[in-house]
Amino acid sequence: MTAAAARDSVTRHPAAWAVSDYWEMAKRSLRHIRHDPEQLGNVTITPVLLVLLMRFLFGGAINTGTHGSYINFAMPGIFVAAAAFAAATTAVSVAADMHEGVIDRFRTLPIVKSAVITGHVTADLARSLIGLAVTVGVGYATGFRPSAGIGGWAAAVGVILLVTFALSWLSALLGLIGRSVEVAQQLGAIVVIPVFLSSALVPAATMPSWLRVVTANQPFTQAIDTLRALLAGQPPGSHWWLAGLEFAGLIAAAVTVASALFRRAAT
Amino acid sequence: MSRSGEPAIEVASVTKSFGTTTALRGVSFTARPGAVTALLGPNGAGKTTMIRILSTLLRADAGTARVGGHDPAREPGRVQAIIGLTGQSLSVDGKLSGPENLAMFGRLHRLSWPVVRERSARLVAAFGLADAGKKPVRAYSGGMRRKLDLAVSLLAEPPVLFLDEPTTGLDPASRDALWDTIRGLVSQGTTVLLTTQYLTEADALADSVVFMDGGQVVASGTPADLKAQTGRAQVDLIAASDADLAKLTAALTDFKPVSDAPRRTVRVAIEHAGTSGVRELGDVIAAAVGAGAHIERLALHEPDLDDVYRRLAGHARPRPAVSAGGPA
Repeated sequence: MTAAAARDSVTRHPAAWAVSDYWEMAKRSLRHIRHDPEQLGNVTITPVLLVLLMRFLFGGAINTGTHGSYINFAMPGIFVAAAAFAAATTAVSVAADMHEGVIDRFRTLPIVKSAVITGHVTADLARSLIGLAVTVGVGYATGFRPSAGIGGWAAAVGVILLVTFALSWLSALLGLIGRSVEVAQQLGAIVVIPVFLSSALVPAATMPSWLRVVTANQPFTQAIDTLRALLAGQPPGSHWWLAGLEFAGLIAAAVTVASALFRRAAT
Repeated sequence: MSRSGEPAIEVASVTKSFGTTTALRGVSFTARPGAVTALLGPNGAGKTTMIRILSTLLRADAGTARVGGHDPAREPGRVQAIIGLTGQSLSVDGKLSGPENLAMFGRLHRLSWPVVRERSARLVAAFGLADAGKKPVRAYSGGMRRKLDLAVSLLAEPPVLFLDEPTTGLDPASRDALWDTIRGLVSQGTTVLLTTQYLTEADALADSVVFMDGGQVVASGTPADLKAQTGRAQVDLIAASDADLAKLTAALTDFKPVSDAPRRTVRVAIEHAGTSGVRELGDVIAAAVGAGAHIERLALHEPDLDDVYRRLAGHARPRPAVSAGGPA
C-alpha cells in the first residue's frame, strides 16, 4: 500500500516545490487583502494624514536649511514611515494564524514551513507598494517635487522595499512572541517608533548631541538619507551601503529568530 | 508503509505533561488499517493530546508512536505525507472562500492542478458545498464549516485520517451525513482515528474503541465488548411518592436497583443482550408491578458515558487529569 498522496502528487525537485509553497502562501495573503480591503486603510490613510500634517501644519514652522522646501525633505521620511505602518500589519496576521486552528493544518502539511510567514511578508510588500503609490500621489498634489530620474526612483523603491521586507520579518517575529492578537497588535506598533527617532521628519543636526548620536547611526536614518539623496538626484554617498548592511543584518537576525520560534511553537 | 496485517497506528507507553499537568500517563493502543478506531472519553481524558502527538504537532515525553510505520517525532515529513487532520477548531482559512481553500490546500499537498480541480469539484458536490460559493468560510454555518474542513482533509486522499471530535456542534442530519462519509472512506481502505465524547458515535462508527480517562486507557475493545460490560439498557421507574419509591426499590432488590430520592426514580440496568435482555426487562417490569406502588412513568434508554464509567473506572465521574504539584 503506497500513499495515495504519493501516487497523485507531481514529482518535482524539492526546490521547485519550495517555490510553489511560497507562491501559494503569498497568494493566500494577497487574497486576504482582496477579501478584507480595510487592511489597506492603515497603509494609505496614515501616510496621507502624515503628508498633510507635515505639509500644512508643521511645514511652515520647520526650517530644514539646505533641503529647500520642507515637503521635499519630509517625503522620504514619510515613505519609510508608510513602510513601517504596512509592516506592523504582519504582526497581527501572523499572530492571528498562530491562534487559529488553521495553523495545525499548515503544520501537518508536507510543506516548507517558513512559507506560512513568507506569505504574509509578501503581502506586506504589496501593501507597501500600494501605500507608496498613494503617498507619492498626495505628495505631488501638495507640492512634492523630487528631481530624481527613472534610475533614482527605481533605486528609491528598492530601498523602500528592502526596509519593508526587514520590518515585516521583525513584525512577524513580534507576532510570534505575542500571546494574543491584541498583544501582537501593540507589539507590532514598536516597529514604527524608530522611524520617528530618525532624521525622517527633522534634520538630525537640529537635535541635542546625545540624541544625534542615536539618530545619526540608526538604520532608518541611513535609509532615509539614502532616499533623500536619490530623490534629490544626488549620489547617496556612504548612506546606501550602511543602510544596506544594517538592514541585511536586521533581516538575517529576524529571519533566524522568527524561523526558530515558529519551529519551537510546535512543542 | 504498513503492510496489511500490521497496525496502521501503534502507540506504546506514551506519556506527555504540560508543566504540572499530566495529559497522558502511559497510553498504549493500536489501530488496524482500513478500520475506524475511536478514542472515547470525557474532556481532559487526553484524546486530543494523543491525536496531536500522532499528527506531528506535539512530541511525546516518553514512549513510542508509529503512524504507517513512521515515528511522528523523528520523521514528521513521512508521517505528514500520509495523514489528514481535521482539528476541533476550524482548521481551514476562515478568510478565504471554500473553493479558494480547496485550491490552496490541494497545491500545498503538492497535487497537480488537474487533480486539484477534479477532486475539489467532486468533494464540493459530495458535501453539498456548492451553495456556499464565494463567501468566506467564516460566514458559513457550523455544519458547512465542518464539511469543508473534512473535504480539505480528504483532498490528498490520505491513507490515515485523524478526526478530533468531528461531529461536535453538528445537527443530527449533518452528523449522519458525516458518518456516512467516514464509512465510505473506510470501505475504500482509509484508516480513521477519531475522538468522541459520545458512546453512540463510537457505537455507530468504530470497529474498535479505546476508552480513555485521566490520561490513561481504561478499557478497549469492540463497541459490543464495551457495552456488554456496561449493561445493554437502563430502565428508569419514576414513583408517585416517596413511599412508592421505597416500595419499588424493595421489590427490585434482585436487580440491583439504584434509587435517586430527589427525582423519585429507581434505575435498573438490563445486563443481557437480545432476547434474554427482553426477558430480563419483563422480569423487572413484573417485579415493579408486583410491588403495588404507584408508578408515574417509565423510561428506557441506552447506557451513556456515565454508565460506562461506573462500570469501567469504578467511580462515577473522572477525577480531573491534573496532579497538582506531585510527581507526574
